[in-house]
Amino acid sequence: MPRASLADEAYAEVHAAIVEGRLQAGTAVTEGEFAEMLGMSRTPVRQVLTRLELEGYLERDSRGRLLVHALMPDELEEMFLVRALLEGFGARLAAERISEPELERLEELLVIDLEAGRRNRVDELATINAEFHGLIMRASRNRALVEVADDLAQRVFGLNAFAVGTPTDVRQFVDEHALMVRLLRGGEAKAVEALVHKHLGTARDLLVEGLHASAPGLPASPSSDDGRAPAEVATRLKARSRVGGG
Amino acid sequence: MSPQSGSTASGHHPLRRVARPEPLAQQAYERIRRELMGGPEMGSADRLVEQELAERLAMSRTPVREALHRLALMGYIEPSPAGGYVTRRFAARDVREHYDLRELLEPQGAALAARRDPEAIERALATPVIAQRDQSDLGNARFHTAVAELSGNRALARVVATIARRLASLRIHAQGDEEEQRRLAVGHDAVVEAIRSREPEAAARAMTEHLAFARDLLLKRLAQAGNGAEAASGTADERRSAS
Repeated sequence: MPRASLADEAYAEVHAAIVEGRLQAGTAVTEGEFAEMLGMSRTPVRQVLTRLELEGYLERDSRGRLLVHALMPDELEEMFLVRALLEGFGARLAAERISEPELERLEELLVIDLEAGRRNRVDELATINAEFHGLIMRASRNRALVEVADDLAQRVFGLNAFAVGTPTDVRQFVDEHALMVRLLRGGEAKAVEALVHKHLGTARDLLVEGLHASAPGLPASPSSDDGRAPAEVATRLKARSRVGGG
Repeated sequence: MSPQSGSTASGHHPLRRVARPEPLAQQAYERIRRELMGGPEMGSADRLVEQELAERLAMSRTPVREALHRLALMGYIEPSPAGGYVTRRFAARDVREHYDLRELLEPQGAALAARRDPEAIERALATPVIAQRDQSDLGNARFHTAVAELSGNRALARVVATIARRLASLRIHAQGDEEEQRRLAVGHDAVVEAIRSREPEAAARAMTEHLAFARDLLLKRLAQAGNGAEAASGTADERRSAS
């Protein structure tokens, strides 16, 4: 079905643009503009926008306009609670199921990780980090778990904890990755789960701190329904902590 | 109406274009979803044929196509490699994977729900989704989603809702005998009572027990339906997929 695949391609492109920060939080989205930019008719674009709205990447403001969703500190904390549960559980399963080639790839990534950490290449660190955690999740052999954990990880990919953290924080992340691989190799399921919880807790604290630092006026924990970001707050946040484009 | 935004291509329209399904597509969506929940078969992969559905619902193929697309996005049905859509097919391994996730997330959600302030709890428990004790499969999916929403954690609610919608096609309620249906209903009541009396541990425990019962029930039925061969070979299957 050529029509479905056109919509799929359009979806992949718009999704990537949001995740990578090319489309910034708070940007107004219209069918017509997007159809023009993507070079296609409105029908597949409408399907794409419906899907992204369902998935929470887009949201409607009080006047019904569609905007790129802006992540607030309280929502970030909610996501990290779920990520910690999912990725901790995934690592626990992986400790029993991971294969030798997967362990070897993790060890390779550690070397690259150390090097990128030494040169403080925050963009590389974020990419390596995504592959590292993704690989551990796939080693859980639970496909449903991989799918939902991937989705959550993508939603926060653009917020780069390495960019917000100090060199000490970055060293700690890299050290914890090394310890994770040792625990996985040793089959220490409970210990690796606890370490993933701690690791993501640190990332969460840095990102939440970063959000507050870039937007001092944010309430500590806004009520769940009306805690929407003014667009300029989100934009400043992105300018500060998005993965750099080069 | 809103000159500062989105005006390059659509500014000449007097009305704002809203990307939502047309009312007909919405009708088609609801009716097909109800049919999916009400059918007798479990574990079979039924093809959803656009033309047949259009005739049965007495509408053109366009809204039916849009409804099918949306049902697939929501996870009720899935695209078929041969084109079109089929109802979601579950093997024992899928059930185990999804129930591992549920048992990880939903007890936490129930515990968080029991920690909300009393007014929020009372308001949520009074909504029809929970108060009417609807024991249909759609009602069940909505119940689990509502409890997860009451947790106040939106990420958790989204994941739980996704899983609940997918599993709704297993028709755990519609397929159950009287005793099984009674025990599923009692399980929901226990979760609700623990949340109402604001006891997080009890709420988590009640949810864990309810899900464990549902998991066993589904696996038992799949085994009886002859799809159980995979249950025994699950571990080997999981290792093979390593790459």
